[in-house]
Amino acid sequence: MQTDAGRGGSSPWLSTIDRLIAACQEAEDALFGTVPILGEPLAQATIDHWVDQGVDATRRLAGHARELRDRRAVLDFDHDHPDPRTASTPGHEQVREIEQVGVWRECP
Amino acid sequence: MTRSVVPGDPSSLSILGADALRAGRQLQADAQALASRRADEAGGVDRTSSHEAGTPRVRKDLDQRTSSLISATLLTAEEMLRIGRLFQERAAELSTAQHTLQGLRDRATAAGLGIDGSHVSLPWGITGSADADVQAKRVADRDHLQADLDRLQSSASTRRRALEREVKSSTAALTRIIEGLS
Repeated sequence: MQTDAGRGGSSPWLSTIDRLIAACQEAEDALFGTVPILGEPLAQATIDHWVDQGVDATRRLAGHARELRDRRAVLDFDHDHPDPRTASTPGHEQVREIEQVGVWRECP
Repeated sequence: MTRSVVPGDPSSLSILGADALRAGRQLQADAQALASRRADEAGGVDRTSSHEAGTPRVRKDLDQRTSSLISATLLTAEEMLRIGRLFQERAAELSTAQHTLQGLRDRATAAGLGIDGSHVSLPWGITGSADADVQAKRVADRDHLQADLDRLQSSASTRRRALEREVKSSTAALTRIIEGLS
């Protein structure tokens, strides 16, 4: 299973959302890890359905959180590595750094 | 052998309840931490973030989605906490009911009777006594035990239906929460 817990965000916000993603995965594992035995078909089906829905919910939350995390990571990167075309005084070191990380591909 | 009037495994239900409670608490804590982080950024406390990066539209969209995630996570956590507690309560009730049933079985055995599913039965064939008084007492014991067994079954059935109602309502709530996640 893919795990996000160890990826580690570069900002406190990213670290916080990584912990939330990890909590969603742990919740999913915990709900699927126990098989309740009700001994009565209708009650069994009702609880099994709740477990399935709970797992689905945590998966969706984790998916939503991952999407947010990735979008936010792009913003963080842009913030830390501003576009030299729009920066007021782009320094030589800054442009070289952007070239090194391969993001500013149109840089002449 | 006929099914027990109080079927189920209390320990497995209790474990699921504990897992749901633990998951709910963790989700709640992490959603609150994210809400706190969002508030810090909005208030300008967190200067290390890219809160001011991106266009206003992008920032607003990201903030709305973060808010939506926090709300959905807190609501999901509430459902897990509510149902987790319910599972544990139900597990304790089930355990008590099964203990009561065992007590009825012991009483039946002592009275020369048997319990099969939801019925208290007189022994088959020759029982070693042709005494009318003994037979009458055995029938009376059976009737008393049957009444106790009926009450136990009715109570267990009522509690099971109540659990089903609550769990179904939670399943529907979880569905709504996720559908509302934008």
